[in-house]
Amino acid sequence: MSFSLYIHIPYCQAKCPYCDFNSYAAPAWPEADYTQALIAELGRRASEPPFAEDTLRTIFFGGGTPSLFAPHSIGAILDAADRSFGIDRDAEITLEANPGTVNLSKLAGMRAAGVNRISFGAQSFDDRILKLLGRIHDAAETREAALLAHRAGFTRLNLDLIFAVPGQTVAGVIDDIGQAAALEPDHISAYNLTFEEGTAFFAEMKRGRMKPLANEEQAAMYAAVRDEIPARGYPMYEISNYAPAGHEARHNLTYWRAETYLGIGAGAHSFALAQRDSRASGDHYGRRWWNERSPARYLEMARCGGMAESGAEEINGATGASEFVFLNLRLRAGFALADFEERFGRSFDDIFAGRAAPLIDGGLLVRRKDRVFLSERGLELADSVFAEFV
Amino acid sequence: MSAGARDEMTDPASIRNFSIIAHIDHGKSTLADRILERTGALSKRELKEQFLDSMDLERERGITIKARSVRLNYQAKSGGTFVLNLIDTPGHVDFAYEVSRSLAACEGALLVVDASQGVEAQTLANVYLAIDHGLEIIPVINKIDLPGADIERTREQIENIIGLSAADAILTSAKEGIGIEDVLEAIVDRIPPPKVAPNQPLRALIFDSWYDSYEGVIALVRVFSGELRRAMGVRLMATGKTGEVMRLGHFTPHERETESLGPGEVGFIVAGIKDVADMRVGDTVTETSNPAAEPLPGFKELKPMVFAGLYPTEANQYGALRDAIEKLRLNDASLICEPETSQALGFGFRAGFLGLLHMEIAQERLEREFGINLIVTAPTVAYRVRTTSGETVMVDNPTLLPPENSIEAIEEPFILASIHMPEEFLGAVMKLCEDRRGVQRDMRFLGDKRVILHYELPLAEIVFDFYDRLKSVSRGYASLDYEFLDFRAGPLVKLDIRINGEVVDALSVIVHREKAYERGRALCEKMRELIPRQMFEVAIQAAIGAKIIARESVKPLRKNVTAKCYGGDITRKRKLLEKQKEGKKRMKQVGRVEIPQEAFLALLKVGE
Repeated sequence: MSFSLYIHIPYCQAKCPYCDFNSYAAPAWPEADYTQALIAELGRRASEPPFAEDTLRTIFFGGGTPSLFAPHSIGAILDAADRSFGIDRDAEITLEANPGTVNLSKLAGMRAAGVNRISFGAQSFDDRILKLLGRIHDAAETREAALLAHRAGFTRLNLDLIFAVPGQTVAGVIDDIGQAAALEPDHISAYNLTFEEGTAFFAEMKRGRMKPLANEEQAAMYAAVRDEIPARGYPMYEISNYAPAGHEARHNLTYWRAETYLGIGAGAHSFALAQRDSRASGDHYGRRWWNERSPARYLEMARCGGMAESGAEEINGATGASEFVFLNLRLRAGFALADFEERFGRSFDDIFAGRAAPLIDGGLLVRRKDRVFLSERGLELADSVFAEFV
Repeated sequence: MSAGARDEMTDPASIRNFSIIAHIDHGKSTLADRILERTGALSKRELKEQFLDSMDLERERGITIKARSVRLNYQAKSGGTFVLNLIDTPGHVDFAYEVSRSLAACEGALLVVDASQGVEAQTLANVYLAIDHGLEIIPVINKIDLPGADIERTREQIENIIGLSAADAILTSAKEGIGIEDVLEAIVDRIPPPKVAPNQPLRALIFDSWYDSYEGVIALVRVFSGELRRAMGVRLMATGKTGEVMRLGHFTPHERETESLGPGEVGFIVAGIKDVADMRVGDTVTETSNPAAEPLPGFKELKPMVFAGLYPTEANQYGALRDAIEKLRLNDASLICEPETSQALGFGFRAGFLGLLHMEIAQERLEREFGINLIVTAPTVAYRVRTTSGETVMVDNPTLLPPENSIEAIEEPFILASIHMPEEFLGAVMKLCEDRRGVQRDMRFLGDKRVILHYELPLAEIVFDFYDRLKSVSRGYASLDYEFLDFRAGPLVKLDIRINGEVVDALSVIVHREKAYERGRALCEKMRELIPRQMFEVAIQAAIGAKIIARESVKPLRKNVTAKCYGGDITRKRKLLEKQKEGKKRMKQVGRVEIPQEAFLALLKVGE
C-alpha cells in the first residue's frame, strides 16, 4: 500500500492573527539545518515499520510558509524521500506558497525540483480584508503569483479563500470567488474564519474588540459559497474544498478517508492504520503520533537519530470507527457502506444504526445507493452530526 | 470533677443556655470561635476556623442547617464557675421549626449585628421567634474595628427595627478578639439560669438528631426536669418508641461521656434507636418506668410541603440514585421519597420537602456527595382531589391528576402566614399578598413602627418564590412564618408543556385558572431561553387539555461546522466532539430534543 507524506515547514515572515498552526514568524530561519533534520527523520522512518515497504503516492509541503525555502532545499528533501521510500511516478507533490514570497525563478525551480502542485493562500481579493487578516501580500500580488505559476509550468493550482471575516459581506465573498476563478486554478478551498484559542483574533474577541459574524450570517455566506464556486466549474467535494473531478487534492483525501500518512517536521502528526489481521480483534485499529512542536527542540531531537516523536495514542476499533465516520462524512460523497465493512469487519448498521436513524429521519444524513453522506442541511450542521458518532 | 466519672449533677443555678442569632457574614461563626477559644474549649492549634458549621455545603451557602451544641466552662469575674451551653441554630424559613426547637432549649440569645451593615433581614425572623419564646436577648454590635462601623446608627436600628433596647449592647470585634470577655460576663449576668421544677419525672427536649452508622440515632437534648442516666429505659412521647440510654454526654466540642444529665443541662444521648424518624426534633424524652404526664409543648409532625420528581439523567444511574437517597434519608427524617415513573424521564422518585431550600440542598448533596447527574422536576404542593365517584385522592404529581371529567373538585392547601415588617413596607407587602390570592385576616401595629400581618394564602403561591419576593419588596426587613390551615376548593387546572407537540409529563403543573395564561406564557418564554439551539427547531407550547394557550420556538442552529480538518487536527477534533457529547449527558433527550436539567425547573426561574 502506498501512503502520504506531510512535511511541515514552521517558518513565516509574519504570523497571521487568525492562524493557530504551528508556525513562527522570524526574519531568518535555519534552512540548511532544518532540511538536514527532515532528511534524517525520513531516513530513520524508512528503516522501520510500518512504512519501510511502501511507496509515496502524495507529498505535501505545508506550513508555516514552505515557499520561504529555496528550491534546492525542497529538491534535496524530495530526493531523500525518493531514496527512502520511492515516490510513485504519478505522485501528487504539493507546496503551500504565500503569494508575497514567490517570483518566476523560484516557481520554476520548485517545478524543476519535482513539485507539481502549488497552493496559494490568496484568502481574499479585497485589500482591506487582506490587511485585516495580516497578510503580507495584496490582491495584485496574488494575481501575479497565479500567472507566474502557470508560466512556470504548474497545471495544478489551488487558491485558498477565507470568508466570514468581520466586515465582509455576501457580495464581497462572491466577488472574491469570481476573481479567484478568473485566475484559472484547478482547485479552490474556501474556509469559514474561526476564532481559535491562542490567536490574536481570539484575544481581540475576548476583549470585545472583535465580533464574529452572527451564526445566521455565517450560514448565509457558506450557502453562497456552496452555490457560487460550483457555478464556476468547481463542484464541492469536501466541506471546504471544490474542484472538477480528477482534480481533488489527493493528499488531503488521505486524511478524510482515514488512511495512513507520515508527518515529518516540527509538530507534524502521523497516522498508521494497523494491518488487517491485527485490526480484527478491535483493540488495535491504528496509531497516531506527533512530533515535538518547537522548531528548536525538534531540530535537536531530529539531529540525534532522526526521532522527534513527543506523543502518541493507540486507537482502538471503536474510536477508529468514530473517526472513520466523521472524517469521511466531510466528503460530499461520504463513504460506501462496503468500505466501512471492509475496514472494520462489521457493518455500519451493526455499530451505528441507532445513532444514524434519527439523523436520517431528521434530514441531516442521507443513505442512498449503499453510500452514506450529509445532506445540504447536514453540511451546515456537520459538527452536530459528527458528535452523534463519537 | 473528672469527666466520665461524674456522678454529681451540675447546679442549675450555674447553667446558662444560649444561642447566637446573626445575619450571614455578621460574624456569628467568628464570635463562636472566640468564645470557644476564650473559655479554653479549643486550643488555638485545634481551632479550625468556624468550628460550628461542619458541613461544607452549609459553609458555602452561609447557612447553618444542622444545629450543634457546645458546653463551655467559664470562670466569671465574680468568682463563680459557670457552664455555658451554646446551641447553634439554622437560619431559613424552611427550617423554622428546627430553629424554634433550638430556641426552646435556651433561656437567652446573643443578637449579633454588624456595625457597618446594620440590622438585616435574615436575623429578624429568628429574633421575633426568640422574643416569642421569652428569651433574654443580648444585643452584640460586632465588627466595631471596621472603618465603616457606625455604632450609634446600629443601636438606633436595633431599637427602631426590632424594638429592643440597645443601651446595654456589647461592642465587639470578634475578629480582633475585642469585647469577648464582656459577652461572656453578660451571658452569666443577664441570661437567667434554667427554671427547674424539683421532683418531677424526666422531660428532655430533642432539638437535633442525626444518624451515625455505628450507634444509630444521636440526639441533642435539653433536660427540663428529672435526670437522664446511663442504662435508663426511655420513651419518646410523640413517636412512642422506647430505648435504653447506652451513652450520654456533651460536646466541649470534643465528645465527653458522662453518667447523667441533670435539670437544665444540655447534651447528647444514644438510645439504640435506628431511625431518625423515631427520634424527632421536638419530641420529649421521658423515663419509661416513671413517665411524665404531659410532653413538653411545641412538637409538630413535620409534613413535606413541596413535592418534586428526582430522576437520574442517565437511566443506568437509577440504582445509584436510590442508594444515595437512602443514605440521605438516614439523616433527614423530613425527606419523604417514593419510586415513580415518568414517560419522559423514566424511573425515578417522588420526593417531599419542607420547602424549596430543603429541596435545593437535597439536590446539591445528591449531585455533589454522591456524584449523580440529577433532574429535578417542577415542584408542586399536594392537592386533594374529590372525584365524581366520591373518592378523595391526594395528588402530589400533576401528571397523576385524574381525568377532568371524573373530577368533582380540586382542593389546594391554604396556610396562615404571619409577616412581621417595619411599617414603611406595609403597602408593598400587602400588594404582594393580594397578587398571590391572599386574604387578609388581621393587621396589628406593635409600636416602634412595626406591623404584623396575617394572611390566608394558597400554599402553592408561597412555596416557590414568595419568600424571595417578600425579601425583595421589603428590602429584606419582612420576616415570614406560616402554618397549615386547611384545603379549599378552587378553579385549578393542569397546565401541560408540549415539546414538539408531545406533552412532557415531568413539566406539567397545576395552576389557578386565572393565572394559567400568564404562567403558561412565562414558562414557554423561560423554556425558550433555557433550551439551547439544536439541530432541529424546537416548538414549546403550553396547553390546558387540548387548548394551546402559549407558544414559543427555539430556532434551529443554522451552522455548526469546523472548516478545516487535516492530518494534525484529527485527535483534537475528536476530543472536541467528545467534549460536546459529554455536555449532552447533562441534558435529557425527550424525543429528539435535548432538554437541559435547568429547564425542568423553569417554573422556579420565571421572573429571573
